[in-house]
Order: sequence, then structure tokens, then C-alpha cells
Amino acid sequence: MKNYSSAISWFIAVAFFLAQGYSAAQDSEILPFDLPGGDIVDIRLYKADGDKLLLGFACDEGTGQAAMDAASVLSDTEMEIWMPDLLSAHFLPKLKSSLAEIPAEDVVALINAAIASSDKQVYLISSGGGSTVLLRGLVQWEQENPDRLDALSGVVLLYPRLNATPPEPGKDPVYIDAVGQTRTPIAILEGARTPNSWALSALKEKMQAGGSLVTTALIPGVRGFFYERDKQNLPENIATSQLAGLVRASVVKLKLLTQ
Amino acid sequence: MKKFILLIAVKVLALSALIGVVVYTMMPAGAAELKPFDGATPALRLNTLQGEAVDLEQYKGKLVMVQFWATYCTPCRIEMPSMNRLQTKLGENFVILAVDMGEEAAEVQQFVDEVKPEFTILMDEDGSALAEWKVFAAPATFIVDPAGKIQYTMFGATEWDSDEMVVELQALMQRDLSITRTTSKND
Repeated sequence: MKNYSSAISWFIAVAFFLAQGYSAAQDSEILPFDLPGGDIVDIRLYKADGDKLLLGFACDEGTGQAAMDAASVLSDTEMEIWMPDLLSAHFLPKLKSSLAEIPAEDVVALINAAIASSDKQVYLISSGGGSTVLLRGLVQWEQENPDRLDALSGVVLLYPRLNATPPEPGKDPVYIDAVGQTRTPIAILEGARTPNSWALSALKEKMQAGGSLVTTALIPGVRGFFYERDKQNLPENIATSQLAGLVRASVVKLKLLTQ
Repeated sequence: MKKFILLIAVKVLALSALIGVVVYTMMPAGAAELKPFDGATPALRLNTLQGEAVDLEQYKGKLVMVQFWATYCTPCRIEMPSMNRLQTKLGENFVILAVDMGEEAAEVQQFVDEVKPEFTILMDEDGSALAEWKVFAAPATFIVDPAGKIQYTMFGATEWDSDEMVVELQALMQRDLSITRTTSKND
């Protein structure tokens, strides 16, 4: 009997999980977009009437539960969200190593499309290793568009993982080349309970080298990848439920940074 | 309906991939290796979890492992029992100083009660040692020779009491102890 009831509980939990994802996904629509190399990327689009558009990288159409929920909330509060699935567009597995294979040209094309789509202020967002894809694309976009840098309003990076090589004790971190080559304002959110938090000031300093204004914030009690974790602690649970608010606050910080 | 079934299939696949990733990341990083280090050795003056002052200088003549770790670092938790065993194998001329990365005493104590490290836990609550030692990841380990110089570093976890590691550290301990003794005699 105990096994039977636990099977029912498990089924209900799974059904709830799937239904929740289905509901957030229903708020969105899929927009096919032609990439420069001839492939087509599906963009999950959460439309909104407001004056801001958030373009997310890299990679999985935003199908993570927390990301979808946050996108849904943000679009309800007048921030349009675009989530292109660049990994699937190139038939790449969802692995960290796949990120290096996403062409910067794809990011450039998507940024241009987002800017051309409306008069909205365009912000870019990514997390973890996806930040490498975003920054590489941003560098190329800035190089191709030196006269209209203000067409991009800023970048939000959630716990960015930008190391070019594994960290070596006793040595300064080595970041990918794109770090320090950008001029667009950047807001970084990092968990306070990750060793990466100790490198935040070094990362900020490097990023500012190219001209980007950079603002950073630590989320107390939270580890990296907090909203994707299976076993969350209480602060991570709270931060996940407030993900949309954290993104919105970062956008406000970016605005203040440039005033 | 088709879309819903497709979504379920995608979720199941994603969940399988996630489980794979979680299992992989929780495994001790057997590939972590000691790397020779030729930089300066910063000072290390911190208090133990019990509030006793410790200075790296006081362990001159012994081989010292200085490890930076945190309670939320899964590989740190996994490798600590092997550090206990390494301490036993290498004996009294080997010291482990495990520096907690900026956490509060209460949560470190809870971890200690649970994992039971048998070596010295140091507290770096304001992260000043972390900055001095340039630590940006955990676990980050430094092997300081008996003369007080960092000889090796390692990022990541390992089985510290493996035969290879014990032999390597014993060699370093004996080599440098003999150098230290020779120097002392000459002095």
C-alpha cells in the first residue's frame, strides 16, 4: 500500500512538473529565423507591449522550468523575451563543449534582428557557459557596428563562467579573449556561495578594460547555477522564485549605470 | 496533444541528461594532478575554528598541505576522508591546514561534525587569505615544502591517499627534509 501511494505521489509530482512547463511554454510562440550559415533557429518568443526586449543566449530555447517561468512573468510585466535555440539549430548536444561551436555570426544576426524588430531597448542575457557565446557575438557585433553601439542597452550575465582554462591556484584567472573587448554596459549576478564570487572583482576589472561599464551583485546564500539545481537550499529556492525580479533589477541597474 | 507528448519526451530526455551530468560532476576528479609552482609563498596567519592563532611559519621543517575549501563544495566533501587517511600515512612530519573560504563558524562546525576532518580547519571569514593566495576555485590545494616554499598546486579533488600520491609526497618530504637538515648543519 505504501508503495502504491508513493507511486501515485510520484505520478502527481511528475504530472505537476510537466503541466507547469507546458503552461509556461503555452505563453510563448516559436518563431523560425534564418541564420547566416543557412540553418534555421527556433526562437521561443514571449511577446509584450513594453519598451524592453531581452534576447537570451545560448541555447536551449529557454526550456528550463525556471527560465520559462521567469520569461513568462517578465513578458507579463511588459518585457519581451526572445530565446533562440542555437544548439538545436546546429544539431549540437547540450554540452558545455558545444558552446564553442556556435558561430558568433549567429549571435550578431539575432542581435540585428532584435534591434530591427521594434523600437524597444534591447538587452542581452545569458548564464554560465552561455556567457561565452554571448560575449563572442557581442564583440563581433560591436566591431561591425561601431557607430550604433547605443542600439544595445546592456547585458545581464547570471553566474558567468568565462574562464579560458581551468583555474590554477596561485595564479590570476585566464578569461576568454572576448572578456575586456566589449563596450556595452554589463550587469553580473553571481551566487555568494561559489568560489567564483572571489573572482568577481577581477572579472569586473577585466571586463571594464574594453570600455564596458560593469556592475556586479552577489546573491546571498546562493550557489552558481542556482535555478537549475535539483536540490536547492532555501535561499536558492527563494532566488529562483524571484528570478524575474532579479533580471528586472539588473536591467534597472544597467539603466542607472549609463545615466 | 502531439505537442504535449513531444514536450514530455523532451523533458524525460533532459532529465536523463541532467542526472548524467549530476553524477559526473559529483565524481572525484581523478584526473586532478599536482602542478609545479614557481611563484612566491604568501603569508598565512589565520585562526582555527576554535579560535587558536596559526601561522604557516610555525610548520617550517614539515610538509604542509594548504587547502582552500568550502562546505558547499561537493568535491571537497568527497575527498576529505582521503585527506584523513593521507595524514595517517604520512605521519607527524606532514600537516594539513584546510582554509574555509569565507563562511561562518556555525556552518563550518556543522560540516566538521558531519564529515569529521582530522586536521586543522582555519577560518578566512573576510577572504583576505583567498586574495593573497589567489584562489578562485575550490578545492584549491598548495603543497608547501619543509623550507616553507610552495612546490605544487592542484585544482580539483583527488584520492589523496592513493599509492602514487603518497609516494610523490613522501619523496618531497624526504628530499626537502634532507635539504633542510643539510642547511641546518651548515648553518
